[in-house]
Amino acid sequence: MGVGLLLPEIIACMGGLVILTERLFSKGEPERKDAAWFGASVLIIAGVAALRLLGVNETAFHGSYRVDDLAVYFKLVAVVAGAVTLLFAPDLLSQRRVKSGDFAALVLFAATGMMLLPSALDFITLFISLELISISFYVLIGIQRGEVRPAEAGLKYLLLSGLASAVLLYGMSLIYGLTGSTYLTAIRQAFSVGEWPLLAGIGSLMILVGLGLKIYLVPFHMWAPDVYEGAPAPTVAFLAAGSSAAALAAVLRLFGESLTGLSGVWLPVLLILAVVTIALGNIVALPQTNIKRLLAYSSIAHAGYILLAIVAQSSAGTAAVMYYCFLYAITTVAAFGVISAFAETSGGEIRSFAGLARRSPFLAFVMLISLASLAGIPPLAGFMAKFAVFAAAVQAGYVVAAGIALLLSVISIYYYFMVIRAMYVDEPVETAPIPCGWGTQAALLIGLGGIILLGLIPWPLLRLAQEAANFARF
Amino acid sequence: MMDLSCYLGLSTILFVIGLFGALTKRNAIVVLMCIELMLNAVNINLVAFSRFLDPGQLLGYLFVIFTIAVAAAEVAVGIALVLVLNRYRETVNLDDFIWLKG
Repeated sequence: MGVGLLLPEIIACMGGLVILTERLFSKGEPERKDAAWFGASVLIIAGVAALRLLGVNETAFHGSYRVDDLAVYFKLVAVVAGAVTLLFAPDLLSQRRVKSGDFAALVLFAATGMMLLPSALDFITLFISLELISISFYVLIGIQRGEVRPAEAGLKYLLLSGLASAVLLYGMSLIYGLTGSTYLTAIRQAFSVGEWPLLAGIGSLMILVGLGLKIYLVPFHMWAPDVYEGAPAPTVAFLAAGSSAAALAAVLRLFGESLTGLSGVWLPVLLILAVVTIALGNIVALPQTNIKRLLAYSSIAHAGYILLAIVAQSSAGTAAVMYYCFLYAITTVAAFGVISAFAETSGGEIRSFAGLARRSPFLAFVMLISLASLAGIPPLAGFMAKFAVFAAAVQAGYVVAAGIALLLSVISIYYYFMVIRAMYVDEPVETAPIPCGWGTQAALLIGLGGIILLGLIPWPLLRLAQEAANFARF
Repeated sequence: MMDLSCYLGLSTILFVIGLFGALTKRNAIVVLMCIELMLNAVNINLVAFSRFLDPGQLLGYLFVIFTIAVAAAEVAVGIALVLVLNRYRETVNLDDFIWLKG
């Protein structure tokens, strides 16, 4: 089959190139939104192409690229996150004089990377896909001209992410030196028998550091609050929903399938860091007054929950990671859709949400549902996801860690409800309704539907995740 | 004839210098250069491993070509961002940017 396995990525990449070419020949008025609609439809076509690869389970290109259900699942997360982001992005971008073609092309390139990464089965492919995502995001974060904060946020992300890539590569080079191979299957075999030298442990930890920045692992999370605050809301939506999911897929592949022989080194480190990540994310989120910084710390906390499921090292844990990633993606995109429509014009302070329910009941309702889902209130989607994670952790014997996480997730309800209280109880400062384009409305409806439906009927997605996880080797 | 450990020693020293510089220097351009230093340490590692451990294979060399290309792309975007910021603030000093809240 070979190239056919790459069809979703080829479609997304070609879509991006078409948009870039069109931009060469047109003036590209910032008010035009058709490039974003085009990008969203390209991503949907890529998603359909990815769906057709379900159940294929093939390895291609001399064992460096693998399409199995796990990979397809994460490709779908990237497609959903990208397409919904492109639906609501142009409303804000046209206000900010950003040409939606530039934004759409970069989103498509980043989505290509996000679709390649879960399939990567050797270090080179993995590194290239990761950098494709990162470099697209450096530009996406700083895309808004005429203001200094986005460029600053972009440079901060670039410097920290570049540093992390260098550490990641050094770890990879050590593992390559010790095993003589960059292929994950060969590395797995090399470490599966006998003693391994100290350098192998160091290498695996360096790889964890390098990927840790992308998955908000404390202490490599420092970029998140500043980037969330500085970057335009659509960029943050896609970054939070897509980039971390793809990086988590790479972590699953690397640490769950390949470096299992070294788990004596990285497993305790990851367990402790996961608990620290949950604690720091939830506690530092409490005093935040800016909605984007609040959601950055909330992202960090959620990354901690997901890491707890990775630590479980079981197929139930993998299924929980996959399920959580999808639900988290759709919930964050909905929340940032509201922020994009409302808070970007008002500075993003939580105070400015006062009385939103009276000004714009629809926006307030979507925000209410997505925050309640992030807090893990049943029957919404977030509850099932958290339940799956904690169940997997308890099954694997990490009862104390799961208990701490559960306790901290109760704390998290407080800061989510501060926002909800501002929206529903406080008196509005202004009374004018918020203008909301049809693209934003469509994106919010998709997000709302996803959160409620997947909360009430979680089984189809959960079963897909479980089957994919059973097939992925452990 | 030099053996593998010389190359690995050199690459370790380069990597540590780069890491130290990237974490302590306050000039954006210098930090970018330090990251390049770390990436070059990786390249030396990969080439040395490829040369000494499996001479018939090209895997390490291949990896190096990709690292160089990606590093160039990354620096291109980095310099562009530094230029944009320089236009606003006429500085490349990281401490002068307002983001440093932590």
